[in-house]
Amino acid sequence: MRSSRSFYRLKVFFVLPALLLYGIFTLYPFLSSLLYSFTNWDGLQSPDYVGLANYQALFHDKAIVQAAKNTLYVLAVMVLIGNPLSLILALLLNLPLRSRGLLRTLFFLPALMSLMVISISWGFILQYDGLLNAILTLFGFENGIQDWLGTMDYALPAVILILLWQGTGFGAVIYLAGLQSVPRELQESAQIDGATGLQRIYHITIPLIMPFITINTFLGIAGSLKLFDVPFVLTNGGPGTATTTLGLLIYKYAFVHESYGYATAAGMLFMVLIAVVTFLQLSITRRREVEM
Amino acid sequence: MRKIRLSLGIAELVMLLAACLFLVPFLNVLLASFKPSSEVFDALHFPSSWEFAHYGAILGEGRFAQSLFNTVVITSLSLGLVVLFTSMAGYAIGRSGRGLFQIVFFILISGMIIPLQSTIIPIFKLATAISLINTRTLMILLYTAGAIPFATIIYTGFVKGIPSEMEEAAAMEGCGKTRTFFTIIFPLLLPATGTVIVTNVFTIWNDFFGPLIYLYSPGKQTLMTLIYQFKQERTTDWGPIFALSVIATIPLILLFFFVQDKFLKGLTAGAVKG
Amino acid sequence: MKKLQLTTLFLATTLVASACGNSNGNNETAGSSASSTASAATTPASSSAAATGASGSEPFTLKVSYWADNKNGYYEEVAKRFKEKYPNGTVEFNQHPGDKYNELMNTRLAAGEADDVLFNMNMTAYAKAGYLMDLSGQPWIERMNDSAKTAAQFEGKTYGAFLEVNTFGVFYNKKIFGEQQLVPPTTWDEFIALNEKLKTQKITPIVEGFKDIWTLQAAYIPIAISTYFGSNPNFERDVYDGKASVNGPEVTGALAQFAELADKGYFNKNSLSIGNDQALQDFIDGKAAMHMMGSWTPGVIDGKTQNFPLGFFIIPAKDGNTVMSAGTDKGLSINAATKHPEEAIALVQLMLEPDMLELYGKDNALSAFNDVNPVFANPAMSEIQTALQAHPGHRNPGDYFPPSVQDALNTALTKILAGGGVGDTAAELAKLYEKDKSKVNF
Repeated sequence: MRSSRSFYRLKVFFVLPALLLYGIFTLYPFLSSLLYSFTNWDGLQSPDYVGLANYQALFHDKAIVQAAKNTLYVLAVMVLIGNPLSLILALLLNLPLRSRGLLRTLFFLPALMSLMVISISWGFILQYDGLLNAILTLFGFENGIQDWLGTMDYALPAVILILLWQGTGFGAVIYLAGLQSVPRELQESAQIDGATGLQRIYHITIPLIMPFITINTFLGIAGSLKLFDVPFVLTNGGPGTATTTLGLLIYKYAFVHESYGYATAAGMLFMVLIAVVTFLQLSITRRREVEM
Repeated sequence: MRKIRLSLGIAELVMLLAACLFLVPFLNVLLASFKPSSEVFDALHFPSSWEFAHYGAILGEGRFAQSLFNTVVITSLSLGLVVLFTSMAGYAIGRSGRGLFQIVFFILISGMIIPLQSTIIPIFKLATAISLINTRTLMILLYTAGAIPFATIIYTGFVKGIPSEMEEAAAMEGCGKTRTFFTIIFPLLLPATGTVIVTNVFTIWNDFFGPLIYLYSPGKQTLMTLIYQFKQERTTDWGPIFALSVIATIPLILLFFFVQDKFLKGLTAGAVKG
Repeated sequence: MKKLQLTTLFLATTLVASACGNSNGNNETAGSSASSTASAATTPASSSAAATGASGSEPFTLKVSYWADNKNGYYEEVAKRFKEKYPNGTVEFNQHPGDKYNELMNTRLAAGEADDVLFNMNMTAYAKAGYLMDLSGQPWIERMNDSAKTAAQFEGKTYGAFLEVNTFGVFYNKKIFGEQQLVPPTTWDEFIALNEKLKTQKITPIVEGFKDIWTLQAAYIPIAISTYFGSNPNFERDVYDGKASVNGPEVTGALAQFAELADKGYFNKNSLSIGNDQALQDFIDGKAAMHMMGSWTPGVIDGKTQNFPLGFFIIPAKDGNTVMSAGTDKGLSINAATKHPEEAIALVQLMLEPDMLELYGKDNALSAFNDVNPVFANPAMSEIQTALQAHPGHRNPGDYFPPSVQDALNTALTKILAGGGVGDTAAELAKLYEKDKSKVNF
């Protein structure tokens, strides 16, 4: 009993540094920014209290609806296509291939590139006289060529393509870490029992790496809901509002429209949305995790 | 067996091809970094003459060494703190049931959903108040705090996978809890540490928004803000920026290659067993 | 119990931090701002003698934030001359990237952490918020041209100077125009006709890099300046007073003319996915005949190539009332919270001396000062100056619109370029204007 109480004390001591640092440099700034959501602060003048006016205005904001649609579209693709792609890539990269180390590095490389460079280099590919159209022309698809980031219909899919390119290797690395904890003995005994590769994956691997599926789904949801940087550097949300996400809209409200108070109100509402969605997701996927 | 080897060979070939496709944007940049300035935007052609001048401009830039040093110091210290603090927190949380630590866990991971766009001004005010504005220390603390939520999730998950018989055995041999953690548990968490490092290193290394706002003195700039040396008001010299991007990516590639080789290689096969 | 301790600890930390935040930020700013405006009022004009005396004993440093390129060694020369006058003083020029400059300045001012002397693009907003020193009565004010004088004023007081005046128009490749036997247009229809001719000859008429967003205005301003102000120079004031509307012929006319250029395919096909650097390179390489841009362009082109056959014309108004934009740029102000108000005033005065400004403007920019005439090597610059003398000038369209309206306008322009049409853009802009009218500073 005494040792368990000392262990408790140790555990409190163990979480304190992380909690303090996080509390001071992430949570406190966020909470103090919430105060501004009840003001008309423009980031410069001294703020005036406006009560719930910002929150009321949010419900009449058409731009938010459009941004929410774009964001949910990204979310659906990232979770339904991006996440399974990461898992498949991880399973393939876990095979005993000769060039495994090289392959892992190559697929992870997109995550390592800086945004400014991604913006320019994908521009080279997607612009009207770019690489993609050159290839399409070469194969006789002249009719299909587009200024991909400059059309209302294709700009968002193009941004999503870049997100998939950037994120698939990243997700695969997390799955790979999870796959290392699947005991090889289990696989081998299943193989002896005559289970095929796909059966082994479905009945053994997937249940065992369920915590990592939870993590990656959570990351995918939170990441796409917060998405801001890639559309910001590639299209600035355009053309029109075709690629404006909620995160980008909040940024614009705060720093372009100089409506900091309104932007924090939008941020707050937005966080509630993320919290609800991720909570639902966590409670669904967590139920499927097996105790190890 | 032969059939398996054949299909493995095909899989390998297909994946190498796919990887080449993944590589195209990077190759664009690599190629552009060797083009004369007037050709950098011509993505469809090889350089008319291979130029090394852009690399010369970067390496000859007086602030390059200082920027590289700043970036390395900030990145490695941030990652060090993240690994230390979150492995401890993850251990405490992973070894507890519901209750206080579950709440702590939710507080910590709530950071994953905070929209950071609205915290810039409060952070700036806070940093000014505690006299940390415009210091590398601030950047380290900010990056550490920023990485804590995700790293905590990873460590907590891994700790749960380590059977508690480990500590019981250690306790029988008279090993204290703190020592058990650092000498027995922490080494077992190496795959988690590897994951935390490779999934965080590039956001810190490549961040240019943070240093631009919170670290605005020229002498303190990082590799990414060095880019602005080549951005003028009305025009940008993209050649050196591409060269700088290539140079800045190389350490990350090497680090990833090393980490995945050491930490993600079926390490736990014998060590962790229920 | 443990939970409670933790919460208390956390609360204590945050409270301490926020308490410190308040005292450091607001009080200090308020206090020193009062004292500095007082000193500015009592020691106007040349206070150098007094300042030297005051600072004779202890060394001081004046920090200057700026974003412009360092051309012609202007900043070094300023620092050198300041040192000659104030041996104890040091001027430190801190350059910050232009594309994040506003965010950085706003944040630093809000946190009470800004430099002593500030180049800025937000003079009236900063003045309104009390961040800038009142510089009314300074001797250099009378030397500025009218649009710079107005732009530096808020509620009758002057809060700074502007170093540059920029105008926008069409730069053209004289070689291509010669080959196609084209001449600069004198009417809007002629402008459309020459675009059409170039297009039928398979030459891209106009190349722009709209990915950079600010470049949208480079193509919109030369059109809008005439439709907004051609028949009513007070259009924006009238909108503010409710006598005119954003949803009137001025804005709808400009949008329609911009849409005509876009819909007829006169812009390069990749205009939305390339940046200005690439657009300018294409223009230099002869891949397009025209490039709509600001008056700094000749200097930039000279930095990239030699002997480019560059010409300049302005877009004629549809109704013949052609106006030219004369936007002020590179605002220079003093932080109200500076600890060295007198020295800062002396520094600004030094920076605005005619010979210093001539050095600054050489091959670089038109001056906002009447007595400053910088030398330009590129002949296109004199075409710009001739045009400016021949047409009425006006501040840039949108200077007195709320930032949200300007952003929504840019968004609408990208939609037009993508083939989405004008739609009811002007009505939407009018609604936004009403919502954010409080952000307009006359």
